[in-house]
Amino acid sequence: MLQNHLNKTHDQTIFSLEDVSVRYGDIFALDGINLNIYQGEILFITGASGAGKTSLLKLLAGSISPTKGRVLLPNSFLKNKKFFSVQVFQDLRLMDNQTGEQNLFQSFDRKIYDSKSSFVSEMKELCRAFGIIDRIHLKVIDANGGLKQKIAMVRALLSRPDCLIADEPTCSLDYDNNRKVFDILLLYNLKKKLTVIWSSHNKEIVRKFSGRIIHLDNGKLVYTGHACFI
Amino acid sequence: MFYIKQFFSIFRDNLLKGTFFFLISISFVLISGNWGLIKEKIFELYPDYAKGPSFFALISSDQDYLNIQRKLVTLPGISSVMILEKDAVKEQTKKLVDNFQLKDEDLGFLNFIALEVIFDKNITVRGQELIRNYLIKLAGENNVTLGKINFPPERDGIKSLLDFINIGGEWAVALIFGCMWFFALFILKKEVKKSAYLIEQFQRKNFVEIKILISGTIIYYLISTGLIFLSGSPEWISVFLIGFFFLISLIINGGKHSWGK
Repeated sequence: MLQNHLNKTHDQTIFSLEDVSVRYGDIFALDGINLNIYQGEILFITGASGAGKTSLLKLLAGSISPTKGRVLLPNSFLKNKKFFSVQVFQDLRLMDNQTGEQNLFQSFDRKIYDSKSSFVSEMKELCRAFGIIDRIHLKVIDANGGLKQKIAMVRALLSRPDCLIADEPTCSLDYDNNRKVFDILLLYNLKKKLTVIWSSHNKEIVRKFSGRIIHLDNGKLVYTGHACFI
Repeated sequence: MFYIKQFFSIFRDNLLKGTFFFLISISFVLISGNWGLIKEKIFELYPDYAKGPSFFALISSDQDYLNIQRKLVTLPGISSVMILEKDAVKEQTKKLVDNFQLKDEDLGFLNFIALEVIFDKNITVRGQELIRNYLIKLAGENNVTLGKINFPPERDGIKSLLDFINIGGEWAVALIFGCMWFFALFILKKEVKKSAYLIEQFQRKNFVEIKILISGTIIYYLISTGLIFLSGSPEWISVFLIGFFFLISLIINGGKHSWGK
């Protein structure tokens, strides 16, 4: 019932997977997945390494196509609105030879920011919230894993996305830092209706946060429910 | 402007690859757009290349040698007919006969005009004979002495290279520079793809890679077109064709982006 109630608060479907399978050779990365994801939802995808989390995220990002079944992306549901998804990958995809700040400027889009100063002030605000304001002048190549992950997260949020798709982007962060990141995401979720799709192999961390969890095992969806029920 | 800025920022971050692409793009347009002029300059270095077989003719100076020259020049198979300086010929001949200790009055036979008749390169032996006979007929058998036919010196290596430049030079240049340009594009494209990928990921923009490459290439194309215009003898068809080649190649190459790892 609670699950239904949670789903009711996010009635606009933005992703829909219908009996979706993804196969690499003889191996099923995903097998018969049925899933709806709603606008403004926080969804955690859990599972052991090799369970199919990354394949599922790639499907949602439109990077791969299913071997079987049908995937409906946001533009199928939101005809009149341009939906913008941003991805944060495990390998973070930062420019190593640039500073953190230069990497953050990759999100400076004149279509969404009135001026450079408004971008800079939002960038500083987010960097302060993530606790990296004094280290963004470092070259990425010289930064530690945690700093890199936070830069990648800030860069993603600076693009003002409608949906954040993240593939274990905080695995180098401790519990407190994870908490900080999720608090910021929760704020964005509440204030800006940001949809968050987050994969993690660490169930202990995600169960402490509010949101829906789906659990994958050998490419099969074995559990879906609210984090508090785990 | 955004895409031009991006292109030059990639150029700045990858100076070697960027410079290579710049040089190849500019050279391709400049050389192909000025090929006629370049070819002319090459053949100026080898004036004998264009020259066919030739012979000298001594014609009595009381003949209307200008009329003979005019009539010869109009014949098919004749490249040119030159009247040699009278004094120069006389001096040369005098030097040769000095050994015979002849007096000036004995040199009355030096009262003639020398013509050099140069045939076209590909004239047949029969054609050469016909022209020589015509000359005898024009001047009168007793008023003309024909020298033997001289053939231009053979320089096999250079000659075949010049033949190649003359016949298929444009295509060879287009092929060589086309391949080099593709190679330069290929090595620069990897860096462009990376930037384009990030821009598309974090900004609401599409087809970024192709837009960046087209912006940069247009700048180079305009620079080289301007230089060709200043050179004074542009071949606009070639310039236009290269522009078309650039555009098509970039469109074909602008595929899906990846992080490039």
